[in-house]
Amino acid sequence: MMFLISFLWASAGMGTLCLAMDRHAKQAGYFPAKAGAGGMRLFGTMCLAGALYLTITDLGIGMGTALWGCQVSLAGWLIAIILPYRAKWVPGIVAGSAIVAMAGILIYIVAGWAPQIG
Amino acid sequence: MKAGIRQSAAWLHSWGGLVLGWLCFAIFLTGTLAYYRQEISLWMRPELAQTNLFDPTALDHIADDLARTAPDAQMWQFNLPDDRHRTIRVFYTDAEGTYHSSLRDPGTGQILYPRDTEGGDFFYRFHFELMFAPTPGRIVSGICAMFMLVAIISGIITHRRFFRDFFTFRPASNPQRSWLDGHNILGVVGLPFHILIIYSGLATLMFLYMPWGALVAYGGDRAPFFTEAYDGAPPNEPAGEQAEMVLLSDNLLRFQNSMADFTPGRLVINHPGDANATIQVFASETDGLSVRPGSILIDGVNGTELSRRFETSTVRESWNVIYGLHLGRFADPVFRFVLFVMGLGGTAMVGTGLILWSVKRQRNGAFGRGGRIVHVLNVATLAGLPLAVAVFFTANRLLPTDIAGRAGYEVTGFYLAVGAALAYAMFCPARRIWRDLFALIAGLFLMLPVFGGILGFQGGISDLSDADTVFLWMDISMLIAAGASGALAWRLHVKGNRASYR
Repeated sequence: MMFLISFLWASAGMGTLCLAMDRHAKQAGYFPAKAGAGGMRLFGTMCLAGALYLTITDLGIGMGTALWGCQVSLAGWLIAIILPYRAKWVPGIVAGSAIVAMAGILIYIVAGWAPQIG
Repeated sequence: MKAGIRQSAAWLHSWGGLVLGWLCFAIFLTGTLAYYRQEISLWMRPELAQTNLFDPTALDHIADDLARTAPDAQMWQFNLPDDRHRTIRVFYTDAEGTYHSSLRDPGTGQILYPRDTEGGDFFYRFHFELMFAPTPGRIVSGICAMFMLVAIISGIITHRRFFRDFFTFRPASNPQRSWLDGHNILGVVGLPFHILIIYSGLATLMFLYMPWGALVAYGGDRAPFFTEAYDGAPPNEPAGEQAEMVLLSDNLLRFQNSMADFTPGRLVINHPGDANATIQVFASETDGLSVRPGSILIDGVNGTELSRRFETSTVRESWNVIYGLHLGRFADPVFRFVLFVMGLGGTAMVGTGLILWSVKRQRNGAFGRGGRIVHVLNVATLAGLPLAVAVFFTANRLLPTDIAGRAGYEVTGFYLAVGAALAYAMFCPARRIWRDLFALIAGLFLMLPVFGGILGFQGGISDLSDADTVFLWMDISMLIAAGASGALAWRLHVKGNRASYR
C-alpha cells in the first residue's frame, strides 16, 4: 500500500516537473506562465520529497532511499513514454496521482490511528 | 585542432561503449534475471515444489547423516529455508578440501534428487563470470563494469541538454533521433540505479581487482583478512578428540526464542564431531541492506555462547551495505519487481546504445565492413541472448530428466542459440533477421507454459488452480515475454523494418 502511495507521489512529482517545461507543456496543450512554472517545479519537488518521506518511513533510510530512487526513475520513464503518444493525458495523470495519493495518505493515517483511538 | 572535452567524451562514449557493449548487455540481462534466481531455480526444478515445512529437527538428522557419510569433513554449512528457498542447502568440505553440496528436505532432512539443472544459478554466475573460468571471467566482467562507469560518465559529459531533454522521446522522428532519445531517457532517468548497480558490482569483487592492500596489511596471507572481513569464526585447530555435538535444533530454537529481531539464516559448523567444534549462527540476509548482518558463535560440544558479532566497523559495514544493495536480497516481492524493471531498463539502455551506433553510421553512409560486423554482433547479442534464455528454459522442460550431464546440455543449448543467431545474422537477408528471431523468441516463450501443462510439470495451464504463486508468476512472465517479442516481430513485419535499421 505504502509502495503504491509513494509511487503515485513520485509520478505526480515527475509529471509536474515535466509539465513545468515549456516544450512538454505545449505538447500537453497547456501553457504555463513563468511564475506558474516555478510553482509547478516547487510542487513537483514537494511531491518527490513526500514520496521519499513515505518510503523512508516505511522501509528505513537505506532501503527507503533505494526504493525512492527506483520509483522516481520508473515514474520518469512512464511519463516519457506516455508523452509522445498521449501527451494530453499527462496533466490528468498528474492530478489523478496526486489526488489518489492524498486519499491514500488519509486512509493510511485513519487506519493507522484507529487502533490507538480504539 | 584540439578536440574539446565534449567531443573527446563523445568519442570515448561511442567507442568505449561499442567495444564492450555486447558483454555489458549480456551482464545486464543475466544480472537482471538473477534477481529471480531462486524463483527460476524452483521453476526449473518443479520436483522441489512439494517439500515439507521447515522443522528444526531436520538439521539434527542432516548432522547425523553427515557424521556417518562424511566423517572427515572439516566444515558443514546449512543454509536454512526461507520465503524464497524451499530446501535446506547443505555444503561441506572433506579432508582433501573438496566442496560437496546437496539439497535437503526442510521437514525431514532427507536428500532430494531434483532434475539436474543449474537453474537460476546459471544466470547469476554468468553475469559476473560470463562464459569463462571463474577468475578470468570475474576480471573480464570487472573490466566491463569499469567501462560501463566510464561510458556513463562520458555519456553525461556528452549529453548537451541533460535537463532540457530529460523527458524527450520522439519515436516518430527519424530513426537516429528516436534511438538517441530512447538511449538518453533510459540512461538519464535511470542514472542513479545504473551508477549504483555498476559501482556496487565492482565493489563486490574489489578484493580480486585490488588485492594489494590486504596483502600488505596481512603480511601476504589473505586468509585472516577474509575471516575478519566476512565475519568468519576465529580460526581454531581441531583437538583430535571425538566429542558428542549439541543438537543444532535446540540451539536454533534457543536463539529464535530469546532474540525477537534475530532470524537465523545459515549455520556454519567448524570441525564437526571434534572436541573443538564451533557453531556459527548467521543472521538472515533478507532482513536488511547489509549482506552480513551479524552472527553468534557457540561451542559445538556444550552450547556455550562464545561471542556475538553484530557490531562492525563503519568501513566494513559500508562494504556490506554496498554488497547488499547489489544483490537485492533485502527486497520484498514488490521491491524485487521494481529492481527487475530497473535492470531491464539498464539492459535496454545498453541495447539502444549499440543499435544507435549502427543507425548513426548507416545514416551517414559509413556502414562498411566494420558496420556489418557490428550489425551481426548486435543481432547475436540483442536477439541472440533472449533467444538463448528461451532455449535454456525450453531445454529444461523438454530434455529427459534422467540423462547424464543434463545441466550441461541446457547450458550448451544456451550457447548454441547465441551461435545460431550469429550464423543467421551472417547468412540471411538483413531485413528479415530481427523479425524472424523475435518471432522465434515469442514462439518459444509462448510454448513454455504450454509444455508445463502438457508434460505434467508444476506450473502451466493445468496447475493454475494449485495457486503456487512462483509457478504462476513464472508462466505469466513467459507469456508477457512472448507477447512483447511477438509484438516487436509483428511491428517489424508490418513496418517492413522502416523504423528500424537493417
